[in-house]
Amino acid sequence: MELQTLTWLFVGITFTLYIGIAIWSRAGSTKEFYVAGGGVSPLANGLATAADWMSAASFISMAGLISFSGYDGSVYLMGWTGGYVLLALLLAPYLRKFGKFTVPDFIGDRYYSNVARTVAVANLNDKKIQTHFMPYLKSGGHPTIKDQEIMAKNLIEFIDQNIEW
Amino acid sequence: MKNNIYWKKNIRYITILLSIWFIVSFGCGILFVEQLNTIQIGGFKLGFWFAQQGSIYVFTVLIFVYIKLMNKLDKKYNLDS
Repeated sequence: MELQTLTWLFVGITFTLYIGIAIWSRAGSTKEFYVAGGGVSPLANGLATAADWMSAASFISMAGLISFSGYDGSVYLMGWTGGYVLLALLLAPYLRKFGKFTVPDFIGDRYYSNVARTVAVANLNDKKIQTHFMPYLKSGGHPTIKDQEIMAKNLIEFIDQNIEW
Repeated sequence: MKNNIYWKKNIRYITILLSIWFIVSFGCGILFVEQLNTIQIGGFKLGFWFAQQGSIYVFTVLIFVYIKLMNKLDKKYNLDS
């Protein structure tokens, strides 16, 4: 079989599969959409949250941060994991008791304020959010493709200069 | 009235647990790190260990303790769902 045919075949199968899953698991209500109708067990939920927490950001950049900056990196480490305690003690128990599904919704209702709700959303795009390797970036939120290319180049240069292979 | 006592207890738990949270991370990891570093356990400086590992262990324990305490409190006041 030709490569072109194979490619189309694989793309077709993949799309069919995902569209099938999407139709099969179509959500009919807000509750279904956000919390799978409340049918996920606490243990599975906890595992999912933990998996979310242990993303590439934790694994790759935490390890890099500690190996490059030693003790100073631990400040970031403690902030990163310490925030999880705040989440578990101050936010998570009340999300469900309030009958809300998203943090902005909860904040808005809890503080009777649409301004607070907006801040909770806007904070996702905080200008102060910068990672260790890109302190020179002045833009907020996620970097553009061009920024990423510059960062990758800088990082490679940094590694070339500082690490002997 | 009953709800009031329940809420006060909850706040007390949170205050105590967050105090430990603060002491372990900011206290042992940053403020008193020099003093703790004079102690060595298993070849590691204690202050450094707290900053890199110890505080995270304590964080995990804190979450479990809070869950346990609140489950007990919920049951006591018949608020568990």
